[in-house]
Amino acid sequence: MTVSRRHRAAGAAGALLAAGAGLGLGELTAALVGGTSPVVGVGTQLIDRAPGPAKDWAVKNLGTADKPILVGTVLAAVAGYALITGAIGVSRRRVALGMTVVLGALAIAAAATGRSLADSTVTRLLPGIVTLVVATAGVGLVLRMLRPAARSRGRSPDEWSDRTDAPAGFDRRRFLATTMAFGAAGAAGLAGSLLTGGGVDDSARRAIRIPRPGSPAPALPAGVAADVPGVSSFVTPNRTFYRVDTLLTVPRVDPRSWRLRVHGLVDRELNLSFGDLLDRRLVERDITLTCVSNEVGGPYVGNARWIGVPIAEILREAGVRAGSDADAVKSTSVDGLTIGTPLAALTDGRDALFAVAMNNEPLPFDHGFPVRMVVPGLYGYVSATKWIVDFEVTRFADFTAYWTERDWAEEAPIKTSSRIDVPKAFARIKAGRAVAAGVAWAQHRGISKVDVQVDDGPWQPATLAAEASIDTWRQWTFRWDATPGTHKLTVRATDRDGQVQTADRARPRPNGSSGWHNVVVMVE
Amino acid sequence: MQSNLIRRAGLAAVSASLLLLATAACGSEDEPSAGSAPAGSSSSSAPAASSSPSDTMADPAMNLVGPGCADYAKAVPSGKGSVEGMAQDPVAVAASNNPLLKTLVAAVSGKLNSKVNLVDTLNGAEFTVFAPVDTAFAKIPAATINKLKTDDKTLTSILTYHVVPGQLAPDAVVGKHATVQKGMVTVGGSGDALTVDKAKVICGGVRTANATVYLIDSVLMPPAS
Repeated sequence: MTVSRRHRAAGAAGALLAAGAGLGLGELTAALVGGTSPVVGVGTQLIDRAPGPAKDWAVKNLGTADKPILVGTVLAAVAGYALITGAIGVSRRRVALGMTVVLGALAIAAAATGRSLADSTVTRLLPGIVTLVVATAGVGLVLRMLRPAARSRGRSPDEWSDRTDAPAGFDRRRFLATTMAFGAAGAAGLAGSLLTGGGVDDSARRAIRIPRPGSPAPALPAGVAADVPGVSSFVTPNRTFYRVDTLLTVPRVDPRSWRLRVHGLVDRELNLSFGDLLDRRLVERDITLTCVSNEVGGPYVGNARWIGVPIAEILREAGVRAGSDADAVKSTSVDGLTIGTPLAALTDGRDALFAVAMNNEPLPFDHGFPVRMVVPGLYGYVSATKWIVDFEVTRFADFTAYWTERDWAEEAPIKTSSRIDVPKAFARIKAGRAVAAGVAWAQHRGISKVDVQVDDGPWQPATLAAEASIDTWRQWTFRWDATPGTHKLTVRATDRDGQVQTADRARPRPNGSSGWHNVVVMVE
Repeated sequence: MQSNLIRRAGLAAVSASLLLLATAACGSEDEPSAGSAPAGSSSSSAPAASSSPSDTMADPAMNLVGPGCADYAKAVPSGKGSVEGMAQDPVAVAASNNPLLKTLVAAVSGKLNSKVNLVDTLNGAEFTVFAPVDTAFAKIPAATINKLKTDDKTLTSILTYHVVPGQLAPDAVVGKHATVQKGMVTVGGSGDALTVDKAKVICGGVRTANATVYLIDSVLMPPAS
């Protein structure tokens, strides 16, 4: 182990802690003033700018469990960069300072160009600026302290082995104290940001009392669920309800400061508080949501009981401007994501809601607390804005939304679809009387028929479970005589408009997957 | 003494940064139960693929085994057929984007024999798939392939012998496994020199949304039962 290596290690460690202090204090600033968090800002930019496959991967996976991975990746990259910066800086201080400035500038650039609803440019950029200044000053200080040591590099190893004390000018206690202070500042900043920037905590969310809806959901009819083990539960629990969105950190909006601005081509602009919404007539409905990125047979469909204010009533209050040609609403979530919805779907009498509750509790943070949109019959990416803060009546010709900018269709009614839940893929079942079961959905049109085909045999009608409403999925069962061998079961649904689910296979992009779902099983 | 101090400072820096990583990485999951799993991963729900464990999602190129991995990464460095690209799609879709698996994909998607279409089923649960590459199929006599075009039973039997229920990562794949076909397949060897029955693994541990894939150099034949 040579001295120069040791000092490079010290430089690397010091730079790492200095960068940590910059990031920690940047995060704290973000939490305090509401600007863009440096880490989340860069991560979100990575998602937004990711090309083709990476983007699809992100959309598919980051919505479920893997957002911490991206944050972790950004942090790991920064840590690696800081270590290298410090190691280089011991001998080339200017290069290291330049590298640190670049890092800070990246955070500022991400904040400047990324999605944000921060009030002003200053608040938006401040966290990145804090990160840049603290990290650069910190790295500078660390390297200045190590400088004399680095200069001694030229000495021969013998010379060094004779000495037991530090090289002239190097105060190891001061170095240690300074780097530890950086570490403490970083940790404190991060802890502070977690404490203050998290918005409300879960107990505050749960403590909210949602008033009894003036229009409760109709009682579920008996037999709404197929009585077959393994079939999807009719009501999807919040815990397992699919989640697909683009956010790294789930917003924890404080309902006390939350506002919904209703504006655009309206006669009266509205600015509603959470209390304003709760004071209005609430309706409760069972509505099945579907994500456009669901593959044939995929899991991104779920059914919940929602309570909310009819969007049509808010639009009536605001008054869509006569003769304005308004045909769309552009809604925006607290993080700046935009969604375009046909105005007609919000005013044609269907139960389009500003939802405040999901399955008998205030919306979970993951599902848009405190308020999200729910529109029966449309894929989520054109209707189900979570953490909504802005609702603008406009024209499709006058804007583009987040997903339509990424080659997804502007309008996307949910396609008539069906799925086999039982038996499972490649299941082994006993010969004889066997049962298949699953779900079918065509929200706001309703399911009138489900057929099942065994191998290349004729289509046979499945038994439909009771229908809760045309806005929910419908379960089905099918009994058949299973003979030994390998068999394929295929399902197709027919909606109440008489449209039979298409056999044409399509991938999710641009407006939803299509094709008949099948499953191959082994009968013995 | 001094080196000790510096080493200690380094250690403190590393542990502090680990702490920083750990807390930040968990920061968005204060409510671990909520939204962390798609409907498909609960047993009472959809038959579709659950999302892969998050620790392996970070870098699909990690944990690959086999002498052909580097060549494959060089030949298909990016796009949907690359190791990273395959990780986002369910296995049958991922395989269709892999230029080495044209024959296998034709065989599982009804193109070789219209009565044999396993695409949705392969996409519908977690599996380990031993995937013979095109040159593996080329070793089979043309007459045999022709027979499979009409003999759906034998074709299905051969194909399902290449599928094991559940995902087996390279560190868990060695051993005997019951296949979907029911016959037992034997994975032997170690490190970059794995074998599956008599076939050699070209590149294994390739992640897709619902299955782990091992590219192999020969088509496996189920033992006569």
